[in-house]
Amino acid sequence: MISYILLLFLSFLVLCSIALPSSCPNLCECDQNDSSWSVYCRKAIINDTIYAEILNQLPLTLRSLHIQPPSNRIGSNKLRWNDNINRFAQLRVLRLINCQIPAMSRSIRLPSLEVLDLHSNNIEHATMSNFGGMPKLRVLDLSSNHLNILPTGVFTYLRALRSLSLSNNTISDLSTNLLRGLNSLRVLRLDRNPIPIEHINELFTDVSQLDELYLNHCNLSSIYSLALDRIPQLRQLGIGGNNLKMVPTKELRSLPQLSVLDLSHNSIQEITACAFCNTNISKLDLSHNLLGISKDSPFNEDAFRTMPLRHLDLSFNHMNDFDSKWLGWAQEELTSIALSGNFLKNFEESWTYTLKSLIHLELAYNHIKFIPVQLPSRYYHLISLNISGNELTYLPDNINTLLPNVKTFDITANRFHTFSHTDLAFLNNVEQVYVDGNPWDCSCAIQGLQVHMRDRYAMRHILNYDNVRCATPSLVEGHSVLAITDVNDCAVLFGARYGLTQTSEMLILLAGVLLFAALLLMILGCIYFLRERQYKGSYVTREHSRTPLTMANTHSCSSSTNDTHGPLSPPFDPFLVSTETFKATPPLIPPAPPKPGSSYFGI
Amino acid sequence: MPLIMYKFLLVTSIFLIVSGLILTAFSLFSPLWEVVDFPRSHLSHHHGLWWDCIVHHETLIPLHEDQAELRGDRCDSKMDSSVQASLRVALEKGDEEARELLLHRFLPHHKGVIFFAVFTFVFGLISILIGSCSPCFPPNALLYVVGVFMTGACSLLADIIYIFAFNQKPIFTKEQSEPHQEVLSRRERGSIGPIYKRLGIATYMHMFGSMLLIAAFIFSIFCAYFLITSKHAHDVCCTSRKEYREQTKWKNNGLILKTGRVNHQSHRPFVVIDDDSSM
Repeated sequence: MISYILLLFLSFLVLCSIALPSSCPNLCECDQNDSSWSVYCRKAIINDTIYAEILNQLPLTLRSLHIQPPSNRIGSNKLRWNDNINRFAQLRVLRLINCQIPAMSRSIRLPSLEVLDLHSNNIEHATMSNFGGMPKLRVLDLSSNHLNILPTGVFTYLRALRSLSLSNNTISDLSTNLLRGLNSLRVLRLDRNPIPIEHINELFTDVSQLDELYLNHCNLSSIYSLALDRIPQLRQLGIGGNNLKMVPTKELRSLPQLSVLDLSHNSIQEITACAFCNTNISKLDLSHNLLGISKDSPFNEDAFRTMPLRHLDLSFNHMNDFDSKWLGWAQEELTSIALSGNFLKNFEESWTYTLKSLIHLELAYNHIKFIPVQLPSRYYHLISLNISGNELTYLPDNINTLLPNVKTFDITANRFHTFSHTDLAFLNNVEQVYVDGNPWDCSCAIQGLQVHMRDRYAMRHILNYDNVRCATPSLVEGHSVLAITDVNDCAVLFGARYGLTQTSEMLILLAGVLLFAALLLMILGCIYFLRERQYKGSYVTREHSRTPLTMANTHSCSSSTNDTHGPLSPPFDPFLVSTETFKATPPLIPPAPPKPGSSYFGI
Repeated sequence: MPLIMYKFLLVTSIFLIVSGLILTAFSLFSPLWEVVDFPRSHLSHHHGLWWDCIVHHETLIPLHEDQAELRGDRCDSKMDSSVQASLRVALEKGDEEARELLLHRFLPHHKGVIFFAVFTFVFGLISILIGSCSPCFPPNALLYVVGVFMTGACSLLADIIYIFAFNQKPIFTKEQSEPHQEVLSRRERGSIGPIYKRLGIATYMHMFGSMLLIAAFIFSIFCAYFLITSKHAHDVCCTSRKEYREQTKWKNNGLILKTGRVNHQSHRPFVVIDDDSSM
């Protein structure tokens, strides 16, 4: 009996040990700090079944869950709310983005949740019971859904709510007392909703403590009827996309603490004198307007008088001939200027030469084809440069001397295929480099970029590494650059060093073999010909051995000579004469040598 | 004696070259260059230069009998387009099994081996031709040495490239969970277990072929040495009787000429008529 109990206990322990360890789901990335987990599921399309499996695999200490479809392919997740998520009592951040969620559950119990991001879903209704189980919620994002009517008191339980986003819905009516009781609300986003101004004004009464208000693209028929005086503590205001033709100077007077103003996507053609006088606006967005459509300067010289302007956005206007002198009083203190989308096409001195404090410059979407070898001297002090959306294919070799102080460099959406070694040496000294949206060549040379990205992996979400994707070769087209580990067509021996590819490596090795073979051939050839020369010398020796024979021949000639000097005789007598000559030869030997020689040669 | 040694060395080196080339040819078309074992799954992957094979081990008690029948042993050619399509699917998975499938394609070291193997055969055949003709033309012995050197060098480079790539660790490896977690994981379907890879017999065959070629190179050096240092090097090919007479004709002693009495025609040119009767 005791043994049975013991076996049961051991099996229970085994089961517990099996259940306790949790592994990261295959389709997700997990950051694990001590016992808390942050999970990002952005690799593949997720449906209800996969979502249920993911929830079952994750540990109870889950802190952050982010589910979003991959951005490189068409399609979205398709989920329904799963109440199994209630078991994560420590969950603080929940992002279910673009998941086609039709409705929220009425049984949500997430006591620690602080951030709930449900933008880009299909939520049509919201009721009080949806938010009853999230007492600590601080940020609620319901933008880009199908909300139409929000009933009274729907957000009553969210006492700690600080930021509410209802942008891009179809809200045409705000119920009475919608936000009453939300004393902590600081940020309200109502962009792209056709809400009548009267309803907005009534809303202001309930949340007079607002710091940020965004009413962009709300079709406000009369901006002048907006009761901005009811929210005097406002610091950021967005009223872009409302077809304004002039800066609402009078209305801004009632906002003494306003520091950020968004007037983008309007029809403003000029900034009149003292348009922002006596305001504290330090960041002004005038992008997507009609500034510069006339030939002369669109700014009055007193346009930015008595205001501490630091950031000015003039993107997507008609600033073909922009001159920084136009900014008048703002020239001294301006630290950031955006000139994107103005067809500037190159880098001109006149854009920045009077901006002594400039450290951030945006020149995106200007059809710039190359960075010249020499840039305006003001660029030397830039800390941030954005040249995304242009047509750049390479960086100049002296880029590190042109932009020595840059810490943030944005080259998104250009035409870079690869980086050279000098480029990488420069980029590795830059803290944040945005490289997504380029047609990367994921063959051997991509390793340098991969190393660069690995060094900054902790910032992968900020730098948008999920969108850094390969364009070539075709096998890995569309895949994330960081995911390519075994597909590089690198040289085997030299790797990515010296800019070699596999083909060039093979040819270099073959050339080395041939060169060594040629050298060997030369050495052996020299040895062989030296051998031949020795043999010829031996032949000379044989020639030397023939000399006595020649001398013998000389003696014969000498005999002939003597016969020539003798008297003539009949043919029968020559025999006898010859005999006599042989007898007379011994006494004449001493004087004979010189004469026979000449006679012999004479013959 | 040097002549006999020369011929022996020449024949031996040519034989070694032929043997080396044959071994290289056999190794090139074998899938057993690299063997990756999956003990848990009772199967092995054979990675060759041209195709890759999946081989299942026989077990006394088959665990997944139905699956084993469905997943029979098969070999996929690296040039098959459907294999490339499956590679794209494998890339999207990103798990261990998918990563193993990525090795079923032309990798850089495979291309390197094939590249140098082609030149090995080219230089090898040229060397055999040159070596066969070296007895009649002594400088060919030098070309023969150079040719055999190039053959052996290419084959050796192929081996170096393959061994280097085999031992090289992947530069970027995704973080993997620890083995004990894999063992305890409830999702058994996705776990592969330990993986062991080793060199196959084809690699050793190719290496042995390279050794034969290097031995042939050494023999060719001695062959050239004996040929060049031989005093009768230029006599090796003289088999014609006429050539023999031509070479030995002038080895006799010089002639002693005797002339008759010089008459009024004493200044005429001196003409020597070769006549055998004068010997």
